[in-house]
Amino acid sequence: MTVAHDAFDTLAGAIALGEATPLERATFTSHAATCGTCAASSDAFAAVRDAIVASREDERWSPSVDARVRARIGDERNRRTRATFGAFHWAIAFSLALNVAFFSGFVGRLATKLHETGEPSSAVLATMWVTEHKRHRPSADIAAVVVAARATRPTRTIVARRALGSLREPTAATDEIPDVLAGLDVDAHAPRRVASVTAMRCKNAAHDECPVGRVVDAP
Amino acid sequence: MEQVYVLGIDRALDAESRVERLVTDHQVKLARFVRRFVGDGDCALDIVQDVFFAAYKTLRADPSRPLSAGWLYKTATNRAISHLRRAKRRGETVSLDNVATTFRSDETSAATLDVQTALATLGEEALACVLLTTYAGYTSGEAALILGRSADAVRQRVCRAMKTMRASLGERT
Repeated sequence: MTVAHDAFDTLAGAIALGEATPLERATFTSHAATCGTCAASSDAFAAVRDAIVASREDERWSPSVDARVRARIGDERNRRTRATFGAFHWAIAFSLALNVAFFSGFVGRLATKLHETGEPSSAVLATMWVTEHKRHRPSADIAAVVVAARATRPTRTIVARRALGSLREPTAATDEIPDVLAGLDVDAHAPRRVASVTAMRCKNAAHDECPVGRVVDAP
Repeated sequence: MEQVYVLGIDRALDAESRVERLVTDHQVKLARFVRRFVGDGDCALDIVQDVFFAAYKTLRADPSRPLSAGWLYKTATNRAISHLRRAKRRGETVSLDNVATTFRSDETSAATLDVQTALATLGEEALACVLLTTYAGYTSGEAALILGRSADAVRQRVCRAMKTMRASLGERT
């Protein structure tokens, strides 16, 4: 079908719907005089349109959906109400729980308990160690605490090593750091027990220049 | 065009009252329109119910929105087209005899059954154009707004659909 003939289809549709202007009718009529297809179809359009209109007039089906729609709207309203009240109930329950927790002192006790049971952080220990190290003040106690932390949490030694390794300008004193921590890193270097390492470091600490103590490999 | 198709709605009413008025005014004509579209009464009632419920949700979200019959026909047409496409994808083909059976209990005119049979041979888009213009009474411009097409496209589809229907009606007569 050509583009030009599409235009005549449009005109034929307008005529079939009764929307064509006199000029459009004249244009289509002159075309239909030379086009057998359009001439035949235009005559039949009115009959088809009349049949459709007649079928609409003949319809006797009169359904009613208002009850179904009303029921569905009611269900929707109930669902929204339930959802709203559900959220409201949860909010009230949560508020009550918070109030009980505060007024009974549970929150205060919990906070205190958390402070008391918190293990010394290896990062804090490392910071303390480095601070003491920079001040050139020996602090053998800190090394002992680091060993204790190492015994309970093996990964914290690594954290301490990283913190110590962040010193930008190593001094003679900071050079001792790897020796100390090498002795603590028992899992990586030797099958020794932490207890023996602790004892060894305590024994050697008094004879070394390191403010904390040098840990040497066991024989 | 009949008054019912361009009926305005009183915006002072709440959503539920407005929907009730829409249902009262349009349920029968809309149900018949959709039944002509899908060829099945039960399915048409489901679609019409969905349309009115969608109208309720729309009005609840925006109570000041003007919701006219055109919105109902547009929504119903889109849902009917979707239904026919889904049925086609699932391979559900309704035989022409079944289409006639759907209408036989309500309609007495043989010509009416023939028209429905002829409508069933059309594609969804062409069917929408024919039903919105010749059945629901919209102009091609209004049908174009409803379908999101140009008025010329609607006229072309009506022309070609009528050719197809004429062939189908000619075969049966």
